[in-house]
Amino acid sequence: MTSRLLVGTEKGLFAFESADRADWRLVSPDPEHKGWQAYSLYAQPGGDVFVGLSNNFYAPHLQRSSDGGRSWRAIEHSPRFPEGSDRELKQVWSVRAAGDRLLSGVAHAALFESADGGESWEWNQGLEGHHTRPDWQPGLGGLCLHTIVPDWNNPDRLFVGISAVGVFRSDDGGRSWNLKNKGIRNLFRQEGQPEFIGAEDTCCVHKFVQDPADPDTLYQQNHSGVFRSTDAGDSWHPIEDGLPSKFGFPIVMLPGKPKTLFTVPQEESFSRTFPEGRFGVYRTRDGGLSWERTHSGLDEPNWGGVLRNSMVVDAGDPPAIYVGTSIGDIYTSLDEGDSWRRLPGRFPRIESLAAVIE
Amino acid sequence: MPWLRIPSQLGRFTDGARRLQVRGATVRDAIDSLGPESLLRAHLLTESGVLRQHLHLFLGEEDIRDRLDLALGPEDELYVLNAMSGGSTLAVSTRAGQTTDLSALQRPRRSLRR
Repeated sequence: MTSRLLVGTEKGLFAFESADRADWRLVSPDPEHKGWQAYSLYAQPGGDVFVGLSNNFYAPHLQRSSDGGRSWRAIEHSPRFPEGSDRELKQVWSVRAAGDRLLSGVAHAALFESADGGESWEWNQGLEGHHTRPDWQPGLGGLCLHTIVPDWNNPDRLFVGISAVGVFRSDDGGRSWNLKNKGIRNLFRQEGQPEFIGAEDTCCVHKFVQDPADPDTLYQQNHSGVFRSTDAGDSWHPIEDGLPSKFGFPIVMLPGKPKTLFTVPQEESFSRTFPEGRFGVYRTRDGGLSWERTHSGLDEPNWGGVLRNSMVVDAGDPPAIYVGTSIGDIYTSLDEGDSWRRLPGRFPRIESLAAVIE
Repeated sequence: MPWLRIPSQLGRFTDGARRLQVRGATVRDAIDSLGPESLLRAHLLTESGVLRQHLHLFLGEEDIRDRLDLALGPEDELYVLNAMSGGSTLAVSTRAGQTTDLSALQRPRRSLRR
């Protein structure tokens, strides 16, 4: 069994290999797609690997690999706004399989769908036509559709996350959408305003995941805190006891252990570094009621951060957690965070990860 | 037919070809002849149909980024170049108090003949 970890960075894509997921070898010191930012990576279960590439010079686009990332082919008809559009594609932020379709999220926020395995894409007009669209504003990372979560229990239900707009849910396969932000902390609260926002007030969702045991339960790392919903996004409730900060980007859940999640707090929005230079991957084993810092093996001091697509869990037994920092370190844990091991090398800013077990 | 020369970074999208034969009466037609939906064309033009911000396009010795409707002859060669980031067209002062115009350094060294 060979495991591969694909590392998307600011300057290209690197690959590691391992026979046991304990010792890792960098396949080549030279990256694939040198000079391209790799904002998104997606290893489709039983299928190809997709990478979303962009840079300052040329068109953002998707490439695909049928051999675990060893070779790549550019998708000629990648997601793209039509000629004459006033919209401009900036980056490809997400790719995800939803039944027999593939979905892709981009900046400036839009959702694309493919019915032919990713070779061509159509712009989803249901989300584009949402009545709040004229009010959408970007976050610091841009106006990006970064998270796609197809409901594993209901093929007609989809969730997407857009910065800095919020979580949308569709109950009809993507034809229509509703904004689901009720209960998120009001980041710009003025005197006399409520502490938490309404469903259609906008906010900056950073990442969210769905409980594999309960489809109505979701967990979200937002700009303003960490939240849980038990009603498919109709309402959210803070779950932050034990976290040093409310701000952070990634959130992942262990497969088979739906109450065990990990998030990586950053000090606050202005600095975006680990709190006091102390790198910690925070773990909850009770669905967010309490959190504890895991850090054995994580270097300190460390004044980096972890971006939203830079923490993943593989499908192995036991599952391995991988985390890549904004200053180029990569760590992995095979014991649910009790200990971390650093992979060799230091890389450009890590923007995405994907784990492939062959 | 005219030719289009592309930077090495785009060679990966053309099976390594750096010089492509194009068709059309104007510069825009020539770029469009790459294919209306082609990824290579998208690498050159934005959705609005203008040359991407950090690219230069030369016809002979002229930078023609805003003149894609220029007529194109059968022997013409178009050159796509990445912009060199940084630098300035402003003059800078040297220690000796003389000034140096940096704008000349931004033009490609070799002569591009029509």
